[in-house]
Amino acid sequence: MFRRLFLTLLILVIIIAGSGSVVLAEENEIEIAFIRATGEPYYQFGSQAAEAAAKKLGVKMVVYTSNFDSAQELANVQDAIARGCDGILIYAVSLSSERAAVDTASKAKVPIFIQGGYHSDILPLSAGFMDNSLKEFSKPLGIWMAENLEKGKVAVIEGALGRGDAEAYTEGFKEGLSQNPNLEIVTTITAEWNRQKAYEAATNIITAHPDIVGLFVQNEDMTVGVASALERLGKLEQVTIVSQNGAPYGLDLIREGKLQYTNANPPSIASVMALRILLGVVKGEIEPGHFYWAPTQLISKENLDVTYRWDASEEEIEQWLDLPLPEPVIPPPIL
Amino acid sequence: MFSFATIGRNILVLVLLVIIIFTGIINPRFLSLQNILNILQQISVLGIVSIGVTILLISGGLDLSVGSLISLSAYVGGLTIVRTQSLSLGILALFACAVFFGFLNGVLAATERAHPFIITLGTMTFLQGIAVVISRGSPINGMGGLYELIGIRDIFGLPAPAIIFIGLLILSHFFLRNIPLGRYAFAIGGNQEASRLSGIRISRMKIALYALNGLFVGVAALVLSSILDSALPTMGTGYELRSVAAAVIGGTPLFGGRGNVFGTLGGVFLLGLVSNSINLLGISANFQGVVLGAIMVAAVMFQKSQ
Repeated sequence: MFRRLFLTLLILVIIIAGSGSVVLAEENEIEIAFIRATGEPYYQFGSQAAEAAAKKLGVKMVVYTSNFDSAQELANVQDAIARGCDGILIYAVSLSSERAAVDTASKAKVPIFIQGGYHSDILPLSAGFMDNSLKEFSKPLGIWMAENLEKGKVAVIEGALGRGDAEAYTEGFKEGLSQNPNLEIVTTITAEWNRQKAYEAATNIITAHPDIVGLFVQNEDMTVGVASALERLGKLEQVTIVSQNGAPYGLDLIREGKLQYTNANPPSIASVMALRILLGVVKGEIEPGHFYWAPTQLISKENLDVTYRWDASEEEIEQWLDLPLPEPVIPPPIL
Repeated sequence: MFSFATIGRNILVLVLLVIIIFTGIINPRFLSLQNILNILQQISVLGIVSIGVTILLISGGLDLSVGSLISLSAYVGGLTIVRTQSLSLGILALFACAVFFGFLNGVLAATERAHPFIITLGTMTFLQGIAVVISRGSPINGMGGLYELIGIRDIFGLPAPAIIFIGLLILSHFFLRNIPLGRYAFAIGGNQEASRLSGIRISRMKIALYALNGLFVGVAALVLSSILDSALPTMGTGYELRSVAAAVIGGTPLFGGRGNVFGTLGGVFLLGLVSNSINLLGISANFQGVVLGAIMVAAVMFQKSQ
């Protein structure tokens, strides 16, 4: 009896809760689907900023998550089209899987703007691309380390292998670091973008190379784990860390002196700018099929207070709506 | 007569109907032909994997490596197509890879030195590792004609992946009912010792069933890489658990001995339909996991209460 009651109630709760958050667009209201690769902080902050901007622009926005699944990403695109969305803003799951997504949207004549995953042969079918070169993004971190460390051992803690991004970041960093021949990369360990695994990786690196002087950690979430490990081992002063993202917790690490330098790719302002371009394409005011560089910002303790924050306030986002839009550029041959 | 027990037996159909009616009322586009075709295409890959997993579960087996094997075999197929410029060689390589590792899982499971859960957890990690090693993280873009052959092709107005799925579903139902290996799957899953005593060669049957599962994985890898027109070393991640979930929701128990592929079709439909309907309803992305998870729990609980 109890079980029946519990299950019936559960079904009712699901239906009521679901219906409470149903979002349908009004007649003549522009509706944009924001499809993010996963619910991780980077994409969360991106979608939240875009949602806030959309509200101020009088646009309805629905947010879908692909859970790093290319097939789910395509399903989300199909569902957004079936729902009647006027445009799609997408953070692609991988560097290549967006081909099917773009084809599907293009056939349905729904403009699709892609953040990341630039692909030259589908650029003409898209509303546009906003991306940065992964190699070029990590290269300044290598150069900075080459200029600021005299000599010694350096290690790399990578994200998950298999999507191409972690590999490209390592390559770019190595290229930058090669400017100082006295610095040697002694090990590269993958921590799969995971804070706990990064903690363990840092511990292992210190055990194997107690005299290490530099670490390139490929995102700040992992850097939090690495900083904890170094602090526990009493190596925080000895090791210079560079990282990527410019996330709120990354900026805190810089403020505390645990992270020295980072290259930020704020999803907040990038998503707001991408939304504005997409809306321009939907309204016929901007020509589709162009490439735009995603905003990036090198951050150290010196310029910590003038960053585009991931968790920007509504007032900051409102100001971004008045900034000039990024100019289209000739797309690079390979990113 | 109408009773709660009757509802319990048909709860999956009931839940599906509630979702269809509810979503159809809120957003009539949900019932459009285009959306129905979308759903059919969207569930096809999960459906194909789930058929193989259902057959294994019926026999008391389990394969957690199906997701990694999808990634690896799709990548091997894609790499062969790119290197040789031959579509047929690529498809052959894809199936050879999928069936070989399915066979290998079977050989390991047949030793009965550990539960298939642990064995295939190991092969899952191993296969994912191989996929990353041979790909070096780079995806393959363009599957050399597979996209046109399967990915965007319609047959009798239905997406080709859905036709493949439905065809395999009917074949596998026939296999489980009429082919000795299929019937042995029920016997082995029901009581392995009794099956052994009645003369069934358990090890051989297990190896054959795991190899057959590899074949289904191969078809799923082919369809998935065709739909996406690319092969990624991580593209199959997650299918191992969703396929088991679809089979269990469809009424196949984890401990074997019973089950059917049409029940699994219901499970696959439930997962696909819920995902599609919450997208069409525009339910907040942060809330989607809660809704999907709760409906899955409710569906399984109702199944268990039958």
